[in-house]
Amino acid sequence: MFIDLKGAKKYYGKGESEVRALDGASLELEEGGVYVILGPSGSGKSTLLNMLGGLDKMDDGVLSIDGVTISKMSDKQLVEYRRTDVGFVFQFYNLIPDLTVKENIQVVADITDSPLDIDEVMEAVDIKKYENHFPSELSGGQQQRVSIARALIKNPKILLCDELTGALDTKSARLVLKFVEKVNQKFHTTIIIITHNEAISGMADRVIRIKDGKVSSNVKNEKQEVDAIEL
Amino acid sequence: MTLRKRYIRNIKKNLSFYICTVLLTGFSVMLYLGFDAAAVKLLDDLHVFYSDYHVEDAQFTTLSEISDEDINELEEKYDITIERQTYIDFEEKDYTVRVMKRMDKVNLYKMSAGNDVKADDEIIFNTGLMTENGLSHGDTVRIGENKYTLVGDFERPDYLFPIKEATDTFAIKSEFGIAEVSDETYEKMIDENGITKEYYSIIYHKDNLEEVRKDINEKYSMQSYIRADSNTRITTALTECEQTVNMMNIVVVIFVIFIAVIISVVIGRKIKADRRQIGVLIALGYKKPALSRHYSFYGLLPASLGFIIGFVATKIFGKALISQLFHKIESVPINYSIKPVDIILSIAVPALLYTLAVYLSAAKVMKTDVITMISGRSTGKNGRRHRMKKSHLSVKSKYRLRQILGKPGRSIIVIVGLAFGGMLYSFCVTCVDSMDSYVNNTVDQIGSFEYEYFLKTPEMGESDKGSPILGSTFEVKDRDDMIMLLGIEDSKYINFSDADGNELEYDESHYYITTMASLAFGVGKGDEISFINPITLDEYKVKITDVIENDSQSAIYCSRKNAAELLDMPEDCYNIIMSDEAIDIDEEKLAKTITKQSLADQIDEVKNGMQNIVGILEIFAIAICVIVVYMMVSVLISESESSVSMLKVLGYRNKEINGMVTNVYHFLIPIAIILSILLGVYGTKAVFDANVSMYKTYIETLIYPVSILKIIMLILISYVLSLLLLRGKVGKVNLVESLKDNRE
Repeated sequence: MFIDLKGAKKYYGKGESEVRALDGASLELEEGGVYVILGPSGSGKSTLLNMLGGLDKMDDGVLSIDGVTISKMSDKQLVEYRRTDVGFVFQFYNLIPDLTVKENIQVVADITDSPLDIDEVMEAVDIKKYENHFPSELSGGQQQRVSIARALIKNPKILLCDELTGALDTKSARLVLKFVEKVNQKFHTTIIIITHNEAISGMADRVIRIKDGKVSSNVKNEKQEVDAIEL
Repeated sequence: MTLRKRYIRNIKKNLSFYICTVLLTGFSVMLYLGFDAAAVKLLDDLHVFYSDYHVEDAQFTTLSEISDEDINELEEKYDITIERQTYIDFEEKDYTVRVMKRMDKVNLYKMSAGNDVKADDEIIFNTGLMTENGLSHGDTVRIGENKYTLVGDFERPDYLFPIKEATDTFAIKSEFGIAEVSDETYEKMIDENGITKEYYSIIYHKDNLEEVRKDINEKYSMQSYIRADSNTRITTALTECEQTVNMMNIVVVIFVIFIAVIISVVIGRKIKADRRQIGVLIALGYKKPALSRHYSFYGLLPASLGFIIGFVATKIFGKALISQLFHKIESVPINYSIKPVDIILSIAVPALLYTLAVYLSAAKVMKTDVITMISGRSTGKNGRRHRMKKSHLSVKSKYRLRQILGKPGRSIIVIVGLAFGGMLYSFCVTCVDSMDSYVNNTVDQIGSFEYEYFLKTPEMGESDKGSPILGSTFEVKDRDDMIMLLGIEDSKYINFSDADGNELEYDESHYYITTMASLAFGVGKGDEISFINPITLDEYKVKITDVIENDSQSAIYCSRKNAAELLDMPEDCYNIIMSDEAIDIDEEKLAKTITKQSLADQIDEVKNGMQNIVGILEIFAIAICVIVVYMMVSVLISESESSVSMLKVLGYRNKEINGMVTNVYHFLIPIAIILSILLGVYGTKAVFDANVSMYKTYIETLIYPVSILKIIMLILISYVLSLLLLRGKVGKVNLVESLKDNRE
């Protein structure tokens, strides 16, 4: 199994104020698919994404990706894992405001051993024409596409998308999702999308539901093209 | 108000910023209370001391003695106080001690510690002579052929700058001092050794100075007249205090404004970062002035804590610092204390300034509309940031340059902070280098003579050896300073070249002024200078033909004939002999001897003293540089927290992030270095130029390459040190937490 998560636990606080963000979550996912993780606020979605992306460590449980145990990695090893294997796309883009579009992508290419061609990636998400613009000069949808390009430049094994359309209007959201779909097809990247939006699950190979820190369901989905989804 | 709970939380969150601003404020409070206010207090006390202990208005010598009856008559006639002062010099093994006749009316002494003389075998020394020679009360000292018990130490208002000869430039307290013994012992000393010198000290109680001087000159043939305001034994203490006050006023004001600007910039940026919360509070119904007042406290805190630290430090180190500063003069016999008004000022000024700065910053942020504030969007112009879009520089370099150009306030503070710290050091090393060069070169620049013999009475004709000179001191009109008129036979021992080193032709009918006098009195080539004969009060005016290079003497050179004419003396008389070798002159005839080496030694002594201050200022300079850079880079990291966090998420290692974010200001270091060197050198030049009359010499400003290297090293070390302290800061940025702001 490409992604194998077993009994993941992550608790915050102690005593009465203890919050069980993940409470024995388990998950198995194949390589190259598009997966949508759904769940209400506080269900543990973001915590799960942090674990998968090597941003945080779990209190208990085992996570292995492509046969490598991530959950036992030191901080230094996690940096190397994020550096080579994972791409992130966030709801509010998190671009570096003092760098242009191209530079925001280049800044990742600079630390990658074999980055993809920067122009090819920019063209793939249709932002080549904005390469010398600063983030503040772009619309939300355009910024999110830069964020996708930045994540893709290192040709990651996994692309983790946290509410990637949450801040976008329907038209921009559809466009962004189409690019994600295209990326999956072109680069065969495993894509995990965390969202509130049930409609997005239409584009997924599998839909995973999470509740109270546990995976409540993980079902195969009749995959649709983004154009066919009612957002 | 619940909002007040944010204060403690904010302080905890920005602890390093508050520590830095508190320390900087502490420094400035210490500078103010320890130097500035202390010097003002010292000045006040000096005036009181001079008044209470009846310091003379002038001293003079006469050819005919003024009898006690005549003194009484003069005092009654003109409402003046006159007293005859005599002294005997004793050349002891380690020092020369001048035993002064005890005065009853003028120049009274004040005991600093111990007891006054009562018995015939008791003696008291001025404090400097006693302490510098490691003597204590109860010690036995040999003076001449007799032994005395040192029972106390004292200060006299006319010897606070204890120099042996009135023309000496620097006081070496271990080598010269004054003493008092009982009247009976003094009489016995006169019987055994004779009087070395006598003069009259005078105090005027009415504005009848000219009348009195003319009358005394007519009746008793005045030989010399030195006003108190041109007597460095009296004026040095006052000018040292005045200079310190003037210099510290500038330094302290710059320092406090500089810190206020830093605090305003830093807190202003923190308030800007807080704009989302401010927007929410305004939307909830909070009034803008109330919020501005709330934020003002953030300025009040460093001002109050800084004051406490500065005040305590002054209490502990103040006396030592002020003694170091006034090491040239005797320790004035006053109680060292800080005036309440200065304490109030040192808390009120920073508090008001910082609070106002923060209030204005908060008000500025609140000018933005509430919707923009709540959205957290920046309203700043991005013109500067948008530069270099198509530049081929690396992404890291472009990022750094945009951080510098895009946030000019922050960058200017870094440059000014580093330059300010560096300037303090640069100023000191330039002083030391200039003095060093003076000792090594300038003394030789005067001419080829090695000895100047001053005769007690003028002689006629030619001297057997050396070159005869007719010299006399004049009062420069409308100035407190004196100038020497030197009538020379030829230019044999004088360096007759202009400031550019061009050889000048000596013309017997012309008058030449030295570069030092030219600078002190603002008289140049072709100008006229008026001076007054201090004995006859006759005024003379001469036209200056040229300025000759001589930074050590305040003098006008002319022919011996012209000088004799001005002094109303025979054409071929002389009272000074200048020579390149030692001449055997009868001690009885000799008033004093000046050697070039003694002048060099005196300056060398001051240079060594200055080196101690350099050591102290080095620490100050490093501390300021480190604090400013630490604070600014810390602000930069905190403002770039989301970028730092994102770089971490993207897989950047801490070292790489440090290289990109923390090292932004590398570009500014050369600017700071150049500025600090220029400010230090020009600051030193300004001080030297302004103090020609006080130093009694003009010291040309220069800095050695090795010192430039030291300044560069100091700034680099400070910079690297602050970056090392900040290394952990990037590591502490939580890669998950800082992204939370941007999540649902």
